[in-house]
Amino acid sequence: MKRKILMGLPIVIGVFVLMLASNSLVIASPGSTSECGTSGCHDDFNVIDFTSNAAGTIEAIQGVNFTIQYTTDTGSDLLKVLGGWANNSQFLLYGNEVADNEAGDLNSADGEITADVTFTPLAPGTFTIRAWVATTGGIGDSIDITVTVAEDTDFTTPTTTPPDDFDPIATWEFLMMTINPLAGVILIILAVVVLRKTKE
Amino acid sequence: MALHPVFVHFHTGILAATAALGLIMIILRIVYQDAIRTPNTRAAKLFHEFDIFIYWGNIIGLLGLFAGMVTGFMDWPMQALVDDPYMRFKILWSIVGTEIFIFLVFIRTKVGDKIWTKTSTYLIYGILTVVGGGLMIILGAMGGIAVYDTSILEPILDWIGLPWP
Repeated sequence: MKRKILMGLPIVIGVFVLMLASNSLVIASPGSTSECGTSGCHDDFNVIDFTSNAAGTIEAIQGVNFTIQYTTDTGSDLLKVLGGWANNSQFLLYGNEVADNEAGDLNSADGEITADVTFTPLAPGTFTIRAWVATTGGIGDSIDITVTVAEDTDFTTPTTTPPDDFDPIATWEFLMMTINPLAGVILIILAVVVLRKTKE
Repeated sequence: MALHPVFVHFHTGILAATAALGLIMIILRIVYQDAIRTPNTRAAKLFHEFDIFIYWGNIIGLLGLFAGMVTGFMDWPMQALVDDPYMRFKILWSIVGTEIFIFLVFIRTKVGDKIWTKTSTYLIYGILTVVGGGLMIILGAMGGIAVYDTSILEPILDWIGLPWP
């Protein structure tokens, strides 16, 4: 019995070492979180061919959707148009995070992404939309598109859901204070029931 | 190096398997009640093996749950976790899951395989095994969404309206 355990020990240790080693390999570039074009972003070596179908400045109307098709190649892995970049927060974004060969990627070839990103302008003005793409090797690229949004007097900014007065963190804290003790009490009662039933 | 990913996958898989076996056990117990109670029959042996798997699976899963929770709090600052709805949900229901698995391990250790003899006891044990494992699957999917932005369970979670709040 002891011999069997000793024989199995290297296998168990080996599995754990393998798990730790594989974990260290899946670290990306967590420090590269800054806006594209600044330090702390992925490196841009002008390697990726990143284009859009926008010809010059886009003329848009407040509240009326328009779509831009982005095309990229050379080992591209992820395309994003996030609210925090340039003036992207001036638009509601749909289909704005597309991974290679995942939902939203119109190009089935590996390392090439074609994606339609839809924008809803929230306010009149001239804005810059910034899109970003990166490869698995940590190389990135971004393109800016200028959009002029005309005012629509009938347009109202969509209300947020849930309502503004809803505080999710306070609700969560309340649930933490109630559900966890309640579950504990119910389980203790069930334990007593089970123990009594088995003695009968 | 992030420690949390090392500790979460193994026990989540085991607890998902115990949930599936828990469901099978309840069905077996209802359908083959007499055969299971007859010693040395194939059904009784199979039932015994499944029971052992669930018991040890729950013990290993419980230890993994503790490890996953501790490393989760080590890897990310508390405020970052609280600000994320997925993480809020995971923290809340991980604690409930831990309570469920403490109950299951305690009861099974105390009562032994007699837990499967009476309807009032095996239903509590079996259903909570399924609920606990199901909870782990949902929490695992949310971890996947938090890290990879997607999960195969995402449509179901969206349909149910999770995470909340």
